[in-house]
Amino acid sequence: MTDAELVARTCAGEVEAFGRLVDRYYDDCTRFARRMLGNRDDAEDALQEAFVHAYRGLPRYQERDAFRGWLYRIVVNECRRLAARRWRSERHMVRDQDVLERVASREENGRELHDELQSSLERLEPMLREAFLLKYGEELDYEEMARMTGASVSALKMRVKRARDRLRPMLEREGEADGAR
Amino acid sequence: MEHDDDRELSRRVADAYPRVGPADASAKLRLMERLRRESQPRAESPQPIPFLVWRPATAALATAASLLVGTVLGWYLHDRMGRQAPASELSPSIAEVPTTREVRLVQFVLSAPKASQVTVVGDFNQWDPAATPMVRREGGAWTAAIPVAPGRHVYAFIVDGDRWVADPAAPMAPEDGFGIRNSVIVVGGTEST
Amino acid sequence: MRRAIAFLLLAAALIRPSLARAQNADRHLLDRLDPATAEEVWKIAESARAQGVPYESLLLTAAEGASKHAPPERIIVAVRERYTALSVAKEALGAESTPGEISAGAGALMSGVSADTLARLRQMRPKGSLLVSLVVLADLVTRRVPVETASTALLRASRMGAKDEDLLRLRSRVESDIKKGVSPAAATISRLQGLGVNPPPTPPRSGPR
Repeated sequence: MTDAELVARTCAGEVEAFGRLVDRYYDDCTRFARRMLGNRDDAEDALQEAFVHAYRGLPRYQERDAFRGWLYRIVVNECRRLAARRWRSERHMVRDQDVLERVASREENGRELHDELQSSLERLEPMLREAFLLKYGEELDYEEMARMTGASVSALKMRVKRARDRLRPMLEREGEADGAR
Repeated sequence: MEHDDDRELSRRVADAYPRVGPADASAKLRLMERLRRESQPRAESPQPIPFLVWRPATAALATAASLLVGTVLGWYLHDRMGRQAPASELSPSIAEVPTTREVRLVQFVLSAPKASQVTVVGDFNQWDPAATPMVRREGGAWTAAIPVAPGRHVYAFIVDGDRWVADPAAPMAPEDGFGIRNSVIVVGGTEST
Repeated sequence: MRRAIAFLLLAAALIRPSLARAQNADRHLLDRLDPATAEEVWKIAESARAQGVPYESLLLTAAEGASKHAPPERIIVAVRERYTALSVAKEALGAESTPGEISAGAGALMSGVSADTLARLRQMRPKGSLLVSLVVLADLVTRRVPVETASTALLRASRMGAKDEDLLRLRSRVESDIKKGVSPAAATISRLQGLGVNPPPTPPRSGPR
C-alpha cells in the first residue's frame, strides 16, 4: 500500500492506517532527530510531537508531494523548535545550580550520544548540522532538502560545503586516533 | 582530490550515522495510544460493563434467560455439528451469531517418513503447536482429522518441533510477514456471517 | 451425562450480557505475547471491529506470529498490514462479502494484486462466491506469475463462467508446469487455453519479475 493510500485511509478515520506510516518512518526519523539533537530523550520528544502534528495535519497533505518529504519537514521543524527551547532554557540555567546538576546527570546516564561522528557534529552550528545530516545522513537531494527546510538550493549547498569542510579534518583526526589502536 | 575525500566522508558518515539505533518500541506504542485517544469522537469511550458488576437480581434473571436460550441453542447446534466439536471449542462470540456454523471434518496429510513428530497448526486451532499432533501411518505419511468451519483457512505443518513446512499439495498463501510460508485450504459449505 | 455437561458449558458460554465479555474471551489468543504487544494488538483489533472489519483474523495473525517466534514489532506490523488489507478487500469486494471472501481478498492484495482487480472480479460475479478465484489468484502471483497476467487470466476465466473446480485444476497444473521449468506466465497462459478461455497477452520478456 502506498503512502498516499495510507494517508487517505487515515483521513477516512482509520487511525491504524497511520500506524502503518509510523511503522515505515519512525525509525528513520528517530535517527535524524537523535543525530540532530544529540540526545535520545530530546529526540523522542521531538518525534512524538512531530508525528502528532503530522497526524493532525494530514488533511492538508497533498498527494503531489512525497509523503516522506512532507513528514521530514515537520520533523525538521520540530527539532528546530525543541533545540531553540532547550537553548533558551539552558541560557537561563547557568545560574541555577539544581538545573545544572540535572543537566549533568542527564548526560551521565547515557542518554547522550557519544560516538566520534556525534562529537564532531556537536561542533557545527545547527543550520550547518541540519543541512549536513539531511544530505549525508538521510541522503536526500537538494530539491527535497529545499522543500523541507524552506532554504534555497544554493544556500543549502553552501551550508553542506561549509559543514563538510569543518567536519572532514575533525573526523580525520578521530580516525587517526582510532587507527593508532 | 576533493571528490575522493567526499566519497570517503560519505562512506564514513553512512557507516556511523545509523549507529544511534532504532526507536524504542515503547515510543511507538505510546504514540499510537495518544493518537487513538485523539481520534475518538466522544470525550470518554464507553467502558465495557463486566458481568459481576450487575446487580444480583438482574444477574439472576439474565442467567435464567441465558440458560434457557443456551439449552435450546445447544441442542440445535449439537445436532448440526455431530460429535466432533466439544463445547469448549465453540467460539464464545457465537452468542452474537444468529446463524449456525456447519463444520466439516478435514483430513490433513503430510508425507514425512524421516520425521519423529509432526503437528498441523493454523487459524482453525489458533496456531497452537500442541493442539493437533499428527499420527504416523504406513509409508511415512502423517495424518490428522480436524473439524474446520467453511471458508478460507491458512495453515502449515511443524516437523520435529521446529521445522515449518508448507503443504506441497495446497495453494500457497502470500508472504505472511513472519518469513514462513503458509498453505491455504478452502472448506466448502455455507460460511457464517 | 456428557451431553448435559456440554449444554451447561454452552449455556455458561452464552451468559454474556455485553459484547465486551465475548471479546475478552477471544483475548486469550494473545496469551503468548508480552503484555505491551498484546495490548497494542488488542487496540488494533478494536479499531478493526469498529470499522466492521473481521477482527478475529487479526488476533489470529498475532497468535500465528507468536507461534513462529516472530519479534513483537514484526507481529504488530503484520497485524496492521492485515488490517489494512482486510479493510481494502472489504471495500473492493463489497460489504455483503463473506468473511472467507474478504480474507481471500486480503491475501490476494498482500500478494500484489490490485484492489481494482478485486472490484472487477466482483462485477463479473455479483452473486457467486469469489473465494476460490481469489485463492487461486493469490497462489499464482505468489508463484511469480506476473500480476497482470494472473489478474487478466482470472478475470477472463470468471467472465467465461469457469467453475471453482476448473480454477483449482488450473492452479494445480500451472504449479506442476512451473516445477518442470516452464515460465510461470507461459504456464498460466497455456493452461488457461486448456480451459477454453482466450489467453491474456504474453508479457514482455523484460518484465518486472
